[in-house]
Amino acid sequence: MRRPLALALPLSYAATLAAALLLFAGSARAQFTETLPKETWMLEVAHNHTWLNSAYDNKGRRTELLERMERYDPGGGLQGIIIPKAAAEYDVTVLQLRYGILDNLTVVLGIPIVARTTVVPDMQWIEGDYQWPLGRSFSEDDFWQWASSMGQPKPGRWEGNKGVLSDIILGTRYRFSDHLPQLQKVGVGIALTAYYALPTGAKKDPEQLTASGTTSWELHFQGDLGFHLGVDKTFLSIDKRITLGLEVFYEAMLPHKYDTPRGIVNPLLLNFAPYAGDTYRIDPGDFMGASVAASFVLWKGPAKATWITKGNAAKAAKLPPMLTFSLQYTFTYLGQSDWTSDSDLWDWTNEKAWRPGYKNTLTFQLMLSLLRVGVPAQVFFRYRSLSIIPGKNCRSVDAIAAGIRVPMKFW
Amino acid sequence: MPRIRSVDVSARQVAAALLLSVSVMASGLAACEPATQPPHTVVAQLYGTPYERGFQHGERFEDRIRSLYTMLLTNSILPFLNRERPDMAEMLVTYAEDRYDDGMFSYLMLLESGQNIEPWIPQEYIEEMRGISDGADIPYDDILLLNTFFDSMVGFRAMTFFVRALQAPKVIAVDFGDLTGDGIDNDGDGDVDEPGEGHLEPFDPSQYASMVEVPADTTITISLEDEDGVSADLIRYQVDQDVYYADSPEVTTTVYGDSDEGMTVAYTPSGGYNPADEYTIYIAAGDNTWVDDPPPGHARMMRDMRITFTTRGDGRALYDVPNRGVRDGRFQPTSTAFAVRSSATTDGQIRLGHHFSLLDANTIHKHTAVFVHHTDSGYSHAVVGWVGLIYGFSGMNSEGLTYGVTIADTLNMPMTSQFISLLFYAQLITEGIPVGMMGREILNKTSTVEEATEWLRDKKPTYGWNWLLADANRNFTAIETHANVLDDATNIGFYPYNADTSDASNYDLHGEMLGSVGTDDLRITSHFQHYKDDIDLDLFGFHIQPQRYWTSFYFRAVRTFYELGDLIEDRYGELDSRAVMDLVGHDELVDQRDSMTATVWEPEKCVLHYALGKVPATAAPFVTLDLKELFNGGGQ
Repeated sequence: MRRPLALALPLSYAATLAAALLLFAGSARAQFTETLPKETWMLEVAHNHTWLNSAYDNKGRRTELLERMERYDPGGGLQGIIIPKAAAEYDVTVLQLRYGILDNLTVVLGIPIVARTTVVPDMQWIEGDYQWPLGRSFSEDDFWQWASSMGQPKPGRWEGNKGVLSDIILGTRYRFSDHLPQLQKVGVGIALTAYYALPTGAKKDPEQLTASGTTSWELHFQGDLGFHLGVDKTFLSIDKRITLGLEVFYEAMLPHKYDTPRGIVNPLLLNFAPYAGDTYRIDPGDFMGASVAASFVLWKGPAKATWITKGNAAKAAKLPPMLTFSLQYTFTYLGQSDWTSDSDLWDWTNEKAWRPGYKNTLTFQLMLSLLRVGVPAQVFFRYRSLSIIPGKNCRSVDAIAAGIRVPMKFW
Repeated sequence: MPRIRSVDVSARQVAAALLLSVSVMASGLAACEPATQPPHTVVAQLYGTPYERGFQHGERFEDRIRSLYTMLLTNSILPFLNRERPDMAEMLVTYAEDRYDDGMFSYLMLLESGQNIEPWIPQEYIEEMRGISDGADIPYDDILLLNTFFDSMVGFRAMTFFVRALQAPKVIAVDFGDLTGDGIDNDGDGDVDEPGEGHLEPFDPSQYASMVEVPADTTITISLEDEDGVSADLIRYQVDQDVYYADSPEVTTTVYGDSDEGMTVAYTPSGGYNPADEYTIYIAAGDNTWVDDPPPGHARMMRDMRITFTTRGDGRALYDVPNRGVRDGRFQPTSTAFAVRSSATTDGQIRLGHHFSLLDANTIHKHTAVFVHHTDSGYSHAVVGWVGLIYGFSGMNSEGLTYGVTIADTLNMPMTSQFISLLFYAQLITEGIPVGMMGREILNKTSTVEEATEWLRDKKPTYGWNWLLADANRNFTAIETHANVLDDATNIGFYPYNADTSDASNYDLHGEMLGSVGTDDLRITSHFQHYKDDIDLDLFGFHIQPQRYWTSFYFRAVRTFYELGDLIEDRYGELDSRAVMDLVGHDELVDQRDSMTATVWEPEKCVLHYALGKVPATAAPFVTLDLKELFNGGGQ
């Protein structure tokens, strides 16, 4: 008897998915070498909320995101110092679609969509010299009144990038250690991951002091072209409850061309085109570094005979553990970012904040896998921080993310 | 051996993948050099005709000239001056015309002033500016404006200061109590115990003490007047470092006058003054108006008045007590220039130190340059200035003739003559040869202090400028100049002096050397030492007064003058080039905000030591440049 189509589909889906999922290691997560089983799809949707209000300077000291600005009354000395204690928040939703071409070769399409960016400048003020024509030093209000009389408004809160695409990622991972049974036997995997960011992100409005764009360069969390070489070691002797990983990577940033601010909105603070030229080029510094990671099975959970395993509890026991905790430390060396405009002075004013430096990133992740109980989904929560361990010439960013992965198999 | 073969193939794949990975990552190691700050100072040698030298200048520094123009003028000075347009248009009808609308007031005002100056500029400098314009592909008008804006702006600034002084409270009288009967000439007028000796009215600001040998328990009362009344809330009364306000118990204010236009401010120190001591009072006040345009809102404030006195037992005569003031952090030193030679130096050689301060705006120091001109005619010479400008405020030629120039605020200048002749139809334009181009001219055409002095004698300056000249013959001269717009034969605006103790013209009325502490030193700052009443004129009810009454630079300059004198005196006979550099960068002499260039010149060796590119300029290390080698064609 032919089954109705509506019923047939889930069953065939279940059969193929079960077979595929059995190729997932029933172990702590292999972070740097994980691939999808052949002909398996994985949809991942994650929402990231990122916030930052400080950066690390060339001496590794925590400082404001934007450089302090000394303002002078022409010939009248220092009016004061503007301290832009800017705070920025980004909400980014990332859709990832992965596909296993082979058991050890996966491709991925990542579509990051910025849901919203908010920048609050929170300009603060240190009074400067005594100004005898006023009978006092400039207060903050005095300064902005003065600036306003010259056409310069006080920069305010900026909100934008609502539903704006960032750079789309095309990537692949090849776990070539599968060709070495000796390594598999001892729980070692080695994979090479490469990706390319299509330039689909939006550049910031050059006339806005506090605006932000959505390109990889402006978000500064990944390069435009990346190569990662990772090794994972799963400890078989302790029931695969711990996996350690090591990865080295190089991410290149490609040069981009931008329009130079003309001072249309901020005539005093953002009028550079007359000497820097109408456009300028940024060749951002590349990223290079290494990560170490450890993944622990906190709870393997029940292994239920469900539709996913076609009622086979033994197969369910081989599915990924229900609760896994991972932590990762990444050291990222940042190369010098080069500006090229008609003015070497202006180039330097930008470049000095992007001199070679490094990021120290800690990532904590908790993953709940429901496959063993018949739900084809994995839910994860992630916290990533650059503020715990100071860096140099980088932003101090924190981010939380929550996401879900759904494996799929259609034939 | 299929198994072995399988492992071989896989191993090659693994090795290839690893090799690819490592090589890609290693490639990233290249091009990681940290960016470095481009030099803020350049040394440029220019050859050929004036136009050719200008072209080389413009072509080489196009980007820097554009950035100086934009950062200094477009983004700072021009919008800053535009704020003054409503006030100016109210007083000077020309500036109410439509063409000054839409933010064009300041640009046109400075350009028109430059165009008014242009006919005074020797043709070769016009050609040089045209060369810059062509070389940099920047309109000639912008280069002209850049090269004349210092001369125009100081005049405009003086008008602004003067108008402010007219509108703000004035010190009418200072009363030190009854000082008759103490047998002392307290006020330095040559009379002892004359009636009213402790009362100074009208009050005359001075570089000396106002009163000496005052009783320690005296109450000093200052009378202020303003037609809008004086605001007690804005009284600021400082005695040395201690600041008092109208509500301080030591201070009593009383309003007087038919229209409440006056206010006395009496200060009695708790516990009295120390005997045999020196004190300085700073008083500032505002009137009862509130000016909102241009913002920020403020009352009309007077310039701080500085009054020095001594208490009984000090013993010094009034003119032996400089009105030096205290260093309270509110006011910066002014520009200085000094020359030392013979007995003042370790090796007898003459040296000229110069520190020019006026305006940096966090911009100008990034655009400094030493230009070495190899001319087709005249003497090759070097000036320390800025890209886009054909001059500097100090320089030297191949004969060792050296100059340093400072500003001396004055209303005896062409903008005042506009008022005198055109009144409400006057324009804020100046005329005369820009001071820096005068500097270029004396370097190009003269070889000694004597020749340079004679060249300068009949040239019309754009403003008040103090010159210090030195040459390889160990001669030096200071010259104070103004434009003599009144064509006054008794005040010609050209006052040279030096350190010759046998020449009476080198002394002031009180027997003090005008600019020297010995026979081998000479110094200038930013005030007039020689002819102190640079102008004194009643014009349609306006009292156009000497610099000491209105410029905020006056007391700063006086303090700097005396501090520099002391520092030279302390080092007499020990001054070598290093010591002169240290003096130029001495904390007491450095404007931390608007220091622009610092130079030490050795006329006999044709050597320049310059500190440029930072604020203050002396925050940068001095760099030595052998000009003799460059003038002789070396170092190209």
